Amino acid sequence: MNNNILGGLQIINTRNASGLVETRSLDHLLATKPYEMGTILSQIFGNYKGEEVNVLDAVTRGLGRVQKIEIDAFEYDWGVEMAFDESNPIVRAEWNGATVTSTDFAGLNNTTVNLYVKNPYYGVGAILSFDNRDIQVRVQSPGFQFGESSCYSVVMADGNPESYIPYKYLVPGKRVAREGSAYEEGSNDADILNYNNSVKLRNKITTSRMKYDITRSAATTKTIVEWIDPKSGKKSYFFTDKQKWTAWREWYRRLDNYNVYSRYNTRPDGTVKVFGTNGRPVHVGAGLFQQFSPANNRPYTRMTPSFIMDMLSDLSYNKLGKGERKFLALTGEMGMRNFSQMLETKAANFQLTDTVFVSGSGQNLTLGGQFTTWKLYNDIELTVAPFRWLDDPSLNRIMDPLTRRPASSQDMYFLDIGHRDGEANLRKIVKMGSENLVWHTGGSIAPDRNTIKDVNTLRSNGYDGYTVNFLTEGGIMLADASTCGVAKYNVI
Amino acid sequence: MPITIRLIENKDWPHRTLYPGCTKHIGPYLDEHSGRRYTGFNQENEADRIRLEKELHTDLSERSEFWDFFTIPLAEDDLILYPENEPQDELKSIFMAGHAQGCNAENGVDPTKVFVIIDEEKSAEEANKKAKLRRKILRSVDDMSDDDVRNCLRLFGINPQGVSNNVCNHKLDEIVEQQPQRFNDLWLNNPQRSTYILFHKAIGANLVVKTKGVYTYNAEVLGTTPEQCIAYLSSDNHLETRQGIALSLEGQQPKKRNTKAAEANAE
Repeated sequence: MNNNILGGLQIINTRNASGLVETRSLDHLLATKPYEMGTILSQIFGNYKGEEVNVLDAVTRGLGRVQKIEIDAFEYDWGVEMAFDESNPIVRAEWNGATVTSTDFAGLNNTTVNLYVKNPYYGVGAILSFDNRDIQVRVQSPGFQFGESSCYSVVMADGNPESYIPYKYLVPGKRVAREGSAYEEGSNDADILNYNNSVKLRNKITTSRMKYDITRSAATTKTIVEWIDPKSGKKSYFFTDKQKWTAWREWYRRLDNYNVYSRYNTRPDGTVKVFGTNGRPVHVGAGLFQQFSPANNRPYTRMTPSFIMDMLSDLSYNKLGKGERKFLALTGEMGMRNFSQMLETKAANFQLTDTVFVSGSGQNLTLGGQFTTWKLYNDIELTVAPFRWLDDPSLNRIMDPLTRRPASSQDMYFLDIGHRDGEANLRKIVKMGSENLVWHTGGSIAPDRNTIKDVNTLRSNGYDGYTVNFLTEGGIMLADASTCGVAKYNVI
Repeated sequence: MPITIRLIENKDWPHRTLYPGCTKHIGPYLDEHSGRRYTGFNQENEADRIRLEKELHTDLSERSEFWDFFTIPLAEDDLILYPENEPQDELKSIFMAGHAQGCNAENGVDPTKVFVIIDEEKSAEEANKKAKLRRKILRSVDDMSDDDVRNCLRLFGINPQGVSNNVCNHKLDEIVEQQPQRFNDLWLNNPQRSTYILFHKAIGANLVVKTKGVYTYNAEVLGTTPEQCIAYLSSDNHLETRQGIALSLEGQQPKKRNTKAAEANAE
C-alpha cells in the first residue's frame, strides 16, 4: 500500500484568519470540486498523524475506487465468477438397471453406466475422469434432469472390454471432472461451456447521519490543512473552522468503522423489521467483516512462518495467477508486532551483513526496524498494515490471556485488493449524489458568515451558533471474497 | 461407527456457509481466563493421550509445537471420521468432541457454534437414556398423591398455597416436560427430599425467615442458602430444630372444615 499519497501533511489551528481566501475554504471546495475533495479528505484522514486511521476508506475512495449506483436504488448485486470447470459430485450410479454396489464391475465389456451427477455441466462427447484420473469415461448421450440431479450415459473411454469403474469411485459424494472431449468424423455433437456464476450476491447501502452544533465563539478558530503533492511538489491548503474539522474527522471515522462492522438486516423474504421514528424501514448493508465470514478462516494460537504460508496458500492455491498474489493483511498493533517478531526470528538464522538494522555512528547508534512486507515462494507477497478498529479495548472486549490486550488486535484480515475484469475487488459503493451531503441550520451565526445584527434576517432557530448535518448513503463491496480470509487469534 | 462433522449453515447474509473453494479450519484456542490451550485432552482422557502419542509418535501435550499447526479443515462437504480404525481420526474426534465451537444432538445449536458432530451411536445411546428416564418419571407421576404434587412443586420454588389441584397437576406436567433431569434429581433420587419439603413448607408458613441474607428459625441461624439450611437440618446434631419445625407446622395446620355443617348452612 502506498503510504505516501500525500507528503508533508500539516494541520495548524489558528485564530489569525489573515491571508485565507474564501475559495480555499473546505465548504467552497466541497461544493466546487466534490470528487477531488472527497478523495483528498480520504487520504488526509487515512494518514492523520502518520497513522492509517481510516485505512479502509484510504484504500478505496482514497485511491478512487468508488462505484456509484443509481439515485433510486438502495441495493446492488453482482455475480462472483468462480471456477469455470469445477468437479461435479456423483449422486448415484446405475449399471445393468440397478444401483451399483461394491460387488459390481460397472462398465465392463463396454457397457453403459448411468451416472447421476449434481450439475448439468457436460455435452455429448465430454471425457470425464474420476478421483483416479487414469479412469476415464465418455458421455454418450445428452444429459437429462432427474429429480435434483442430471443423468448421463457413459462408457469407458479407453474402449477396453476389461476396463471398469471401481465401486469406490462411484460412491455418492465422490466427484467427476471434465478432462476434454473426443468425437467421430462428421460429428454434429459438441461439448458445452458453462458460464458459471456460482455465487450471486446482493447487498444494500446504508444511510448514515451525524449532526453537530458549533457555538458562535468557537466558530472563530480556524484549522488550516497543508499538504504537498508528491508528484508535482506543489503545496496546497484548505481551511475550515476547528470544530468543523473535528466533526469531519469523526464523521469519516464513524463511516469507516461502520463499513467494517455493519450487519445486514433484511430478512430472506425481503422485509426489514427495523423502523425509524417516522415509520419507514431502516436498511443496513453487510459490512466488510460480514462479507468475509463465509471466506477462508484459519484460527491460530501462535504466529509462525508456516502458519502464514498455509494461510496464504488457502487464498491463492489454484485461484490466483502468479502475478496476482499480492496480499494486504489488516491487523492490530499486536499483530504487527508478532509479524515483525516472527520475521526477525526467521532472519536470525541467516548470515546477514547488516546495513539496515544498525544505523548512525559513535554515540548515536540506532538499532531496529520493523518488518511489514514478506516475499514468499511462488510470487506471493504479503504486506501488513495497521487496522486501528481491532485495537480499541472498549469495542473489543475479549482479552488475550497472555497480554491482557484485545485478542482481536492479533487477528489478521487478508484482503485481495487487486482488480477483477478491470474493476477493483474492494470498492466503496455510494448512491449517486448522496455522498457526504452537508447542510446547516443557522442560529445566531451561519458558516463563514458574521453574526447577524439585522432584524430582517431570517434564521431557523434561536440557537447561539449553528448546527451542521452530515448524511451519506453508501457501503463497501468485496466483489470476490474467495481470495480473502481471516487468520483469527483464537481466544474463547 | 463413523462420525460426521458438518459446518452449521450460515443463516445470515450472504446465506452461504462458505464461498466456493474456501475452507474453514477448526483449531486449538486459548481459554480467555486461564490462558490454557484447548487440545481436547484433560485429566479424564489422559490415558487416551498417552496411547495416541505412542501410536502417532507425536508429543500431544498442551505446550507441544504440534498444536501450533494442528487444524481440521472443513469445507461444504461433510468430514467423515473413523475413530475406531484410524488413530488420526480418533485424535480428531476427541479434539472436536469437546471443542467450544462444536455442538451435537444433546447440547443443541447456539450462535457461538460453528460445526455439528453427528455420532449416531452416541446419539442413540443418549436418546435411549432420556427415554428411559422419561418412562420412569411418568410412572412415578401417576402414583403421586395430591399432597405429593404440592410438595413437589415446593421443591421447584412454586408456592402451591391457594392453588387448585388441577392447576398444580398442570404445573407438574410442565416441569416433567421441560426439566425431566431436574425432576429426577429433586424428587425421585433425592435422599433429603423430606427435609427439602419441610424447609420449603416452613418458609411458606413464615416459620423460617430470611433476614439480611440469612435464614433463621426462632433466632437460630440455619444458613445463607437453601442448600446450607437443608444440610443443617439434615444433620443429626440438629434433630431438635427439625422436630421443632415439624411440630410447629402441624400446630399451624388449618382445621378440617365441617362439610356437613357447611352444607346445612348453605341450604
